[in-house]
Order: sequence, then C-alpha cells, then structure tokens
Amino acid sequence: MIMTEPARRKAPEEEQGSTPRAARREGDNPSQKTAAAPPQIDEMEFVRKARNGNLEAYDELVKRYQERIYATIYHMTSNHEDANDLAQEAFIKAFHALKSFKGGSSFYTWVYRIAVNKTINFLKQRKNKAQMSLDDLDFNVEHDPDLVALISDKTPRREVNLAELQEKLNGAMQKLSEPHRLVVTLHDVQGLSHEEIAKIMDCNIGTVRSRLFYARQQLQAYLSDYLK
Amino acid sequence: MSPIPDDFEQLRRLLALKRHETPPPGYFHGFSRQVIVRIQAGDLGDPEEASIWSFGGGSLLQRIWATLDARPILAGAFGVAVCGFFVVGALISDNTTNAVANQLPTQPLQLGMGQPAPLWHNAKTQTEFPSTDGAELVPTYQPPPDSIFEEIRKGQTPRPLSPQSAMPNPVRVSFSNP
Repeated sequence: MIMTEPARRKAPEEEQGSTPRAARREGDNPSQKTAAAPPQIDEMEFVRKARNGNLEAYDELVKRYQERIYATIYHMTSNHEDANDLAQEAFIKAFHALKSFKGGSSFYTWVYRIAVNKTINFLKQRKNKAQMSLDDLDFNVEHDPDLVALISDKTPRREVNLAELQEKLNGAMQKLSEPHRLVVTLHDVQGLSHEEIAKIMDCNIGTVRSRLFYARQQLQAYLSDYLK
Repeated sequence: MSPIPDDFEQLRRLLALKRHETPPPGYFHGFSRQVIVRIQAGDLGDPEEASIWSFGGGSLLQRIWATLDARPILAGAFGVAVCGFFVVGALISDNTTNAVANQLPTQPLQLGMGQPAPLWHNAKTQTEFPSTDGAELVPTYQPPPDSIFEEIRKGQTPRPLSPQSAMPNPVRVSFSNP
C-alpha cells in the first residue's frame, strides 16, 4: 500500500475479484448499469441460518457483498486501512444485529446502510485528520477507452498522469461533504440507481438527484484543469 | 430519440478512474475469514459502544472532544463558561462565609431554659495505671475551671497544678564508673 503516491500494479485479471466492473462500464447511464441489487436466490435462507448462529451461512453472505461494501467505504475514506477496518466492523455489527433485520428491504440494502452509517460516523470523528492511502490502479485502466480518450490528448506520459489524476480526484472527493460524496460514490462510481441510493440513505429520490447535481458541480470546479 | 446531452459527461468519465482502484491481490480471499474469526472472538464490531462512556455512535468524551475540536469558537466559549463558573462559585462562597460569620451570636448558645449540667459533669472516670515505683496513680477527672489564659486575663494568679494531674517525677538514672 502506498501513501498518496499510488504506483501502477500489473495484476492478473483473475485476482481482481468478481466486481461487476466490466458490466458497469456498459452504457452511459450509471443508473442502468450493473450494480443493481444482486439476485436474492437463497439469500433469505442464508440470512435465516445466520440469524440462528450459522457462521458458514454468514460467511457466504460476507463473500457476496464484501467487495461492494469495501469499495463504497474506500471511496468515501480514500484510505485502504480505514476501509478494511470499517468494512469488517460493518459485517460484524450486521451479524449481531441480524435479529433486528425484518426483511423489509434486501439484506444487501440493509448491510449497505449499516456500512454507510458507520463510515459517516467515522468521518465525522476523523475531521481535520484525513490522510489518503490509495489503492493501486489495476491493469485494466490502460484499456479503459474513456480514460484513454481523456488523458491521451493531454500528455504522452500517461502513467505518471494517471497516478497524479488519481490523487487529484481523491483529493477533490474528500472536499465534498459526506452526503454529497456518498451520492457520487454510489451513483457515478458504483453505478447504483437513484432508487437504491434513496433506500440506502433513507431519503427521497429528489434529494438524491439534487445532491448528485450539487456534488458534480463542485467536483467540476475542483477538477476544472482536467476537464477542459 | 437521442438522449439529452449531459454537462457532466467528462466528469463522469474521469470518475470512472476510481473504479480501477483495487486493493492488493488476494485481499478478499481472507476477508470473510477475518470477519468470522472476529465474530467468534466476541467482537461486537463497535468497540466504542462497549465503553461505559458510549453514547450513540461513539464515546461520549470523544464526541465532546471532536465537537470542540471542530469548532474553535465553541471551544473558546466553553472555556469561558467554565472559568466563569469557577469565579461565580468563588464569589458566592465568599459571600456565604461572611454572612454566616455576621449571624453568629456573641453569647454562647443555650441549649435549654436553665443551666443544664454539662455532659461531663457527672462523668467519673477512673483509670488505673500500673505503677513503676510502687505507688498507685488513680487520676480522677475533674472539670477544669476557667482556662489558665482566662485566669491570667482576669489578673488572678494561676492556680497550681493539682498533684493528681502532675506529671510523675522523672526517673533519675545514674551511671557508675566501672
């Protein structure tokens, strides 16, 4: 892990886990991209078993959602170590709170809500002490057509500028307030729909849209040098 | 029908970079295992909530500290309020002492209508001490008359000490030369 100076790592694709990243890149409208709620086949069965203390069933649930939960927390904190701790604590807290899970929403949304609340509480306490510890960029970044188009016009030294761009982007994200950063993370980075975000944040869709608009405006101002 | 052009298109492309930020290879292989181990170890997932000072999402003291840390003006006001509290407390305490001193009667308090006998008047204490010189000392407690300072002030000659209350003669020890 590199502190604020991320280096490129050529990792084999099979090690990147099963994040639906490729699917998320399909289409221009993030709300139509993948990160739709995962299939709930057997999910309630796993939840029921886990509620009765079956740790193998809960292990399966953790494996299903660990990447998305980690990614959300990481994009909110821009710190790998904090994201690791918070993601684990969110799953542990969710396990102990399973008895209060009524099934009104999907387990996925419920865990997301726990993780988000935990992260926001953490960020409020961490104020003025933010330090970035960024994850490395994966191998696929070289082949992302959007990023290639964005960067190749600017400079021939693409690697250096990707790292710099990553740092600037995370710095700009950290300037946003927690609710605005969360909306951008869930919608523009993770590809959740407005409806899902509204459920997770426990607010109405109009609030989600207005926060998203305002957050994008702020980001555009912070990153104006990279968006000409 | 073509979609409405989005002013944030470039920004969204830039944000796509964050999707390529991934943790170290193999990171997720042991993640769920660590969670299960922590659950088995009795971890609650929120150490602050186990604290006696916990309140809501975090420690009460940490919350107060974080609130003051984030708002310097509030911290200053809090400091002024604490100082003011001590100053007001000191002033009130001083006034109360003076008021009590002024209200104290000049004559001794009388507990009853007549002159009650002091509690110690009928007390008769006899204490026997083993004597080292063969004489028995049987001190009898008697109530003191006026104090010696009072007698001097009145111009009286201080009364001699009673033999009962006199200190025993010092033991003289002589050493003979060998």
